[in-house]
Amino acid sequence: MMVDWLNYLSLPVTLFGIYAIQAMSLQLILGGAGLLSLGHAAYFAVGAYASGVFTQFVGPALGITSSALLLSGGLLFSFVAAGLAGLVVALPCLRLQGDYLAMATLGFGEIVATIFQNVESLGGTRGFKDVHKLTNPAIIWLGVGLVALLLHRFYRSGFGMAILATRDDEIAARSVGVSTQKAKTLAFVLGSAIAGLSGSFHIHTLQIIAPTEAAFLRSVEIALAVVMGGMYSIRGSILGAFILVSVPEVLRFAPDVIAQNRMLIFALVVIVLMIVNPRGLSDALERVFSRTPARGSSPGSSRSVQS
Amino acid sequence: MLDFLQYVIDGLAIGGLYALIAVGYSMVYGVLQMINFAHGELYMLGAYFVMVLLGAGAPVWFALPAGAVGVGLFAVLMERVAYRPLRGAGRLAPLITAVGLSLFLQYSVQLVFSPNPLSYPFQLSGEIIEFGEDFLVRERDLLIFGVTVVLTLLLEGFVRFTRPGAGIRALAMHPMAARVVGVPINRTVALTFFIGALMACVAGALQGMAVNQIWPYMGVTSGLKAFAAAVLGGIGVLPGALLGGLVLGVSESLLVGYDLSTYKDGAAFLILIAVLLLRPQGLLGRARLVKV
Repeated sequence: MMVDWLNYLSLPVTLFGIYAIQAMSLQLILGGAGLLSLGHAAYFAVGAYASGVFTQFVGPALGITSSALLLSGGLLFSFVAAGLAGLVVALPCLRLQGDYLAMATLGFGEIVATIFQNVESLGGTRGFKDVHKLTNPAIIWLGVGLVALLLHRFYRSGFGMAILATRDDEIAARSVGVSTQKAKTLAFVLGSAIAGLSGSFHIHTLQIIAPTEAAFLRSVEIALAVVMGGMYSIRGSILGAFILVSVPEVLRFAPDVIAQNRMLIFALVVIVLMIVNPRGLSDALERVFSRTPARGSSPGSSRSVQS
Repeated sequence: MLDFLQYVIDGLAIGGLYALIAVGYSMVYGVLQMINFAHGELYMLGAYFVMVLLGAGAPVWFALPAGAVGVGLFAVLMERVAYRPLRGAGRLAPLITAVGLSLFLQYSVQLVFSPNPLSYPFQLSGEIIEFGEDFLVRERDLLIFGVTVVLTLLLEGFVRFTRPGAGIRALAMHPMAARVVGVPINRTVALTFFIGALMACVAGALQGMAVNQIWPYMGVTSGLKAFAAAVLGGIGVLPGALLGGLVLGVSESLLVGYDLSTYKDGAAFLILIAVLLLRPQGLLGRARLVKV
């Protein structure tokens, strides 16, 4: 009985970890740098494909057989490839303001999906299948912890400060000597590269990646986790990923009428949560659990990134 | 060369449908600076509403306008319940709500009707008309293109020459000043959603009548491409939506014609990004002044 439960839980817990990394990587771009990106799944998919290419083709050609080495190589490949993809988008597109950046990034996601659909040697529209399984929940949660720690430290470094300053007031930041364009590019590329890591974990857990996972729906799913959880903190992203995975999963055990329509109910939950807490759940929880007055009473305080 | 012209002609009808959907994205963005990602679902709902009316035996001349008004009222309700509480809550909150809404509508339609494609009770004639020796045009393509142009012109006239139209323009130009001179903000926003939904419904119904198939997810891809069309032409500018739609439709038809159909979804967005980089305000848009 106990073992059954552990077996059952291992997949949702793993998926939760993968989504948590994705959400944290997008949090850096949306909440940290204040850049509207609606194509984040593209970097996730690039990372997944790159990692798959390493473990299926490059690694074996080099004679690597140990699964730890294969996974490390895959992670490195995915990090670099997704970071480069982020750079390709960032260099021309970060000149665009606000919504126009959102539109361009959305477009990039669709383009990446189309490209993968047409690469027959990587499965084409059927997806890149039968990749080695190299992960377990422990490895993935180790990854979650490391990424969270990295981002936490990053926000406190000079680069991190420059990114937050650029978000809060680009002109003021520039006037004190922050290179705002560099700060934005750094946030965008690092966020993309970390999304690539989650792609690597994804493909070596589920053993498949489909080209459509680079497209809009998947990007929106990640953004949903970030915004629903609270886009100005790292723990908000983890909370958002938890809601994204757990709500539909828990509803499976509800009476049939509910279980069969759980995605419908999930969509309703999203709408209601957003209307009630436009600033995300972690913000609301904080207000409930701390006796200090609601955040936002002093200007700017609500927007600094906590972890 | 003749092939090329033929593909262009074929693309105009597809483009017309994109344009009709794009109008809604464009107008809502114009007045609220909000991307209503649930707009593609209004197109889908339109196809289903009109199908139900046709299935109940209503003639087309009644079913189409009645369905459109129904979807229009639904859009007004949607704005009231889901978007108005979030006005002023930043850009991302309404955007995520819109996505939640569009998932909700897809699943609802799937539940009420069926997840599978349904066939349409009324079809447009697919007769081919020959122009001279070389050009062939399907009757229904001609009709779709005609409807698109007429509706866009009517709408442009409405926005330009009527009092509520002036309200929409005022709100798009300067929300604060519009409020000061007494434009009823909420009513104007509702009207904008209503009009956008009317056009989307017509597009959905025409799609159903032309292709004879509608399904709960039909709004996803078409919605995204129509959105690209709206941005391409200049979001917030009505003739821009028409132009953007036609450019996308024609480019798609050309790709299909030259055997590159697997690239057509990506191509639409490649054009979008190229235009954004060269002319961020879109083909017909005017650049906004950014004040420090």
